[in-house]
This record gives sequence, structure tokens and C-alpha cells, in this order.
Amino acid sequence: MTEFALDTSTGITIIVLFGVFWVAFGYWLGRKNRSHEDFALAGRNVGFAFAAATAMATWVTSNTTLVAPQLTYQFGIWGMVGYSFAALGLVLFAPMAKRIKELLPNGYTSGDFVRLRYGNLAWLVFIIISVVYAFGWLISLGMAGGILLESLSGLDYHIGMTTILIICVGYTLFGGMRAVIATDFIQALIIIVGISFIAYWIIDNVGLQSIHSNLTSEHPQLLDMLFPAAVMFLFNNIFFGLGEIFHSNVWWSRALSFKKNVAYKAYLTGGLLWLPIPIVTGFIALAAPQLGIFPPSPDMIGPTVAAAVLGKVGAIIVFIVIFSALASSLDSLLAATSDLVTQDIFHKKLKPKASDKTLMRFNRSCILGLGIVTWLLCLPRVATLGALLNFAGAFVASTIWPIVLGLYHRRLTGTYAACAMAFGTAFGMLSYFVVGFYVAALVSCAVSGLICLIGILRSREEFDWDGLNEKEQSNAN
Amino acid sequence: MTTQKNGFNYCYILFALCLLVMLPTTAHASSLKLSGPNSVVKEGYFTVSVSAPNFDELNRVTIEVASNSEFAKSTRQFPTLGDFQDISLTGFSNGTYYVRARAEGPDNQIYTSNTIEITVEHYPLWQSLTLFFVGLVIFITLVATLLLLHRQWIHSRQERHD
Amino acid sequence: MLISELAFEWLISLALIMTCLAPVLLLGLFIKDFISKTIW
Repeated sequence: MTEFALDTSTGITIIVLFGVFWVAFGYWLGRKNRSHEDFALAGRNVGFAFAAATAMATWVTSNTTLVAPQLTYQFGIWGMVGYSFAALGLVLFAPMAKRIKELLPNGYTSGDFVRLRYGNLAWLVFIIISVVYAFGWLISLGMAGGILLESLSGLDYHIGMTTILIICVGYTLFGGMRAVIATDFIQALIIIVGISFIAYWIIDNVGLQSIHSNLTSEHPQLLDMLFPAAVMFLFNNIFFGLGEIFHSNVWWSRALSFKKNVAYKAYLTGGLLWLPIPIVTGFIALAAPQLGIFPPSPDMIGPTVAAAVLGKVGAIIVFIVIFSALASSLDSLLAATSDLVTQDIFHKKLKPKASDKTLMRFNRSCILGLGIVTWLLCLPRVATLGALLNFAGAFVASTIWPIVLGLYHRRLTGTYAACAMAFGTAFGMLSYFVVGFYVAALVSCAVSGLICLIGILRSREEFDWDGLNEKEQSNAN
Repeated sequence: MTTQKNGFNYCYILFALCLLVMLPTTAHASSLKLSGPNSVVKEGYFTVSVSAPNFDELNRVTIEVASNSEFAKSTRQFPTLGDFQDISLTGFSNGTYYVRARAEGPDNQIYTSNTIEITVEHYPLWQSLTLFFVGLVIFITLVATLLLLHRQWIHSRQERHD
Repeated sequence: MLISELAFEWLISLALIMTCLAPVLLLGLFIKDFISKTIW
């Protein structure tokens, strides 16, 4: 019999309590939603505190709580420092968020921007990339939920995965973006307090000196500043992170929902708040050899160490922290992806004259639909945790240059942008299979950048920024 | 009568069951088997799995790693966690490692598995540094482009407002 | 080239202190927004 860190009944109790609380909270917040704009973008009026917290909390995914310790266990010091560089994505998005807010005062999604700036061909490529990425992320979150609840409390995978999905779909459905952002704020606090407590406990009981001396004598490679594999993956990981943030509607819809002068400082603060978190969660893994803990698979190292050191209390904290991390990303992704489908596909392509009420109803059904599709895809439990997301690196990194140049440079045209994204992805995938996963995002970004450069040098057209302000156009018509 | 007969049968069945359980135990316990990565390990971490027909009865399953096949000196021991059959080991430098599993049977007898040979050979430093610098150049170009274009926009906006 | 003990201790301690300051900052910002009624 496998002994679980937590009783199944305790696990279920925590989930039910949190579930009821989040859904009720979402319902309470949702009462204020009058229009589709309220529902999808929280009335475009989110203040600094919530804005900074939601930027940070959404970026703290199951990956930060699981993969950061895993990478640290595998690559040592570079694993956690390298992972924390993913904060660069949020920091660099800060100026872009300011520009986005100014260019698209009435915009809804990243797809909106690509369609207006580059036309239909580039939009199509972009939507394919976005959907592949969003589903990769949704599935990996749903599966991570099930796997974790199972490994910590023995709760059946299918029950755990289904419960997490029902809770997140529930409160997003009732409260829309307001619920997503307000729950993110509380979840951010829970995550930070939880991991700080565990890390402090380990430092206090095991000691930094003894961890360092144990690693120096037993696993010196983990303290090596020139760990070849870690040095090699570094920029690939950074480009992956940049691609995720720059293209994804999760971050665009946030930028658009923030108050006018808040977007820039919110992303900057969110990034700086996020920066130390992978180091703190990763550090937990470095204590493992000293404690004589060697997990069955590297992705379980974080929860295993916490549960071993702190016993039942540790297991409960880990359970709540991971549950919050999963929920804060899952809700954002559900909301942002359904916005993308509602606005870009339903409103702009199928029913341009849809009323505000129809849009809101469609958006809600979309959240429910996405939840169901994710649930169906999670049922078979096929891929391992990180496998899906590794693959996505080739896709998202190809959007970095077209998005940056599209926001600031008039000369890049739609055809070149579409080619940059398509060929970037294709070459990224090719290198993934021919060379290895550690070059996929790097190659994708490099190829797409090169095509963008050629596009700018060859193009004679200059884009008119006013073309982005769609509402004015339709009013004029 | 019936009770007596049943009791008699029960004894037989129990005895037969004991034989069934005992026989394979003694025969298979020595067949503690260890399997690991088949190719050269490039990242310094790997997972090995222990298997035995009577794995549930074994205690203190430990993985031993040494730099010589006799496990003579500097043998490192890594206990497996709970009743998991896999163990993930990390932080190995370049070299050949000999790995085997040890376990205690229900009768306190020590069983050892087959020894497997694992070669760790990290990526050459020139290769990883090349990729590092290629990445660095693209990254600096990207950040510089973004910041320059953003600054240009802020300046032009201010000029327009003036 | 191994990271020295001092650098290791500094890295972890600094990260932990920064993480601990985050909730203080977030709550402070929230109270400020709450008082000036600019939460939403």
C-alpha cells in the first residue's frame, strides 16, 4: 500500500471548501457585470493592486510550483536561476502593455490586433498558434491537477481533475474577468505565504550551510555555474517564456482590462514580484539529497520534500498552494481563450451584428465548452506533464518578432508576418525533432526574426495606426 | 461433521497457499532486477527502476552507485521513497557509474540485483556556450529593438502633445 | 566552477526576503486602492 501524505478525506474537504468559496465569490463579483465589456474585461478599469497581483499570480502556474523544483533537482543552481528569468517576459511586456492600451483603446484580444494590423492570412496563422498553445496549457494544467491531487492524497485522478475543472469553470462562468482577477489576488497571497513558509522551515531546520556542503561533496554538478545542459537550455527557455506572454490573449486581455496608466507599472511590478519565486520553490529541491529524499520522478520533488519535512501540515500547505497555482492559471486561460473565440471568431467572422447580450451569453457557453473539451482531452491521461508544453515552444516563439514589430513598426506587412510565424514554427518543430527540444524556441525565434527583417527591408508600405481603432471606423461607416 | 470436514479442507488449502506463496518468493527474491537508461546520459540525471516479483515484501530498497564494478570504495547509497519502484538520481559528473539495487527480504536476508553500467557524458562546453551566445545575441537584439522603438514612440507622443 | 557558499546563501536569502515582502506590498497597494476607491 502506498502511503499518501494526506488522507483522501482531508484532500476532498479542502477542495470542497475552496471550491464553494471560489464559486460563491465569483458569483458575488459577477453581480456587477452589466455588459460584455464588464464580463470580458472587468470594465477596463482594474486598479494597480489587483493588476500587479493578477500578472504575478497567473504567471505562477503549476509549472512554477512543480517544474522549478524539478529543473533545480536536475540542473542545480542554473535550473532555478534560469527558470526565474521567465520573469523577463512580464517585465518586457510592461512597455508593450502601455502601447497596447493606447493603440487599442476599444480592443478586446490579441487576435483583434493581429487581424487589424496584419490582415486575415496572418490572423489565421496566429489563431492556429494561439489555439494549439492554449489547449496545450489547458490540458497540462487539468492533468497536473489530477495527477497532483492523486499523488498527494490518493484521490482518483479522474475525480481530482474533474473537480478542479468544475470549480474553475464555475467561478469564471459566474464572475467573468472580475472573478478571475479578484481570485488571482487571493491566490497570489496564498501561494507566496505557503512557499515562503516551507522554504523558511527548511532553512531553519536543515540550514543553508549544510545543504551547500552536502551538495559540494555529493552532487557538485548541481552547484556548477557551467553546467552544460543548463547553460544550453537557458535562452531557449527565455524565448519560450517571451513567446508565451507576448502572443497570448491571457496577457493582452489583462493589459486591456487595466486602468489607463496602470498597465506598465502593473506588469513591471508583477514581473519583479515573480522573479524570486522560482528560486524559493527551486531551493526546496536542493535540500532533497541532504534529507535523503530521492523521488520516483523528478517532477514530484517539490511536494515530496515539503511533505517529508513538514509532515501533514506541509502536505496540506503544498496541496493548497498547488491548487491555488493551478486555479489562478486555469481560470485566466479559460477566460482569455473564450474571449478570443467570442470576439475574434464569433463576433468578427460569424455574427458581426450580435448584440451585447448575445456576446455575453456566447462567451459564457464558450467557457463551459472549453471546460468540457479540456475535460475530455484530459480523460485518457496520455502525455507526461511537461511534454505538451515543450512542444509548444516552437509555436509561440515564432510570434515574438511579429508582435513586437507589429506594435511599433509601420513597415512590416501581413504577408511577411504570416510567413515569419509559419516558417518560424515549422523550423522550430523541425529542429525539435532533428536536434532536440532545447533548440526549438531558439530556432523558431531566430527564423521568424530573420523573415521579419527581410520584410521590413523590402517593404515600401507604411501602416496607418488609426486602422487599429475599429470602433471609430464602424461609427464612421 | 460438516464443520470438521470444512476445517480439514481449510488446512489443506492454507498449506497449499503457503507453498504457493513461499515457493516463488524464495525463487524470485534473488531475481531483483534493476533497469536504467540505455543510452549515454547527457544531462547528469537519470531514473532507474527496481523490479521483483515479490516487491511488496522487500524492505529498505536502496540503490548503490559506485565508480567501479566491484563496489569496493566510495559507494554512494540512495534509499527509494516509500514503495515506489522508480528512483530519480541527479547531479552526476562525467564518468562511468556502476549501479545496483539492494533490498532486505522478509527473512532479513539481503538481496542484490544485477549491476548496470551508466555512462554520463555532459554536452561539450563549446556546444552549450555556442548556443548560449547565439541566444544572448538574439535576446539583446530583441530587447534593444523593443526599448528603442518604445522610446521613439514615447518621444514622438510627447512632441505631438507639445 | 562551483558557486561559493556565501553567494549561495545570499541568493537564497535574498530571494526569500523578496518573496516575503511581496504580500506586504500587495496588501499595501490593495488598501491604498480601497481607500481611494480605485480597486475596479
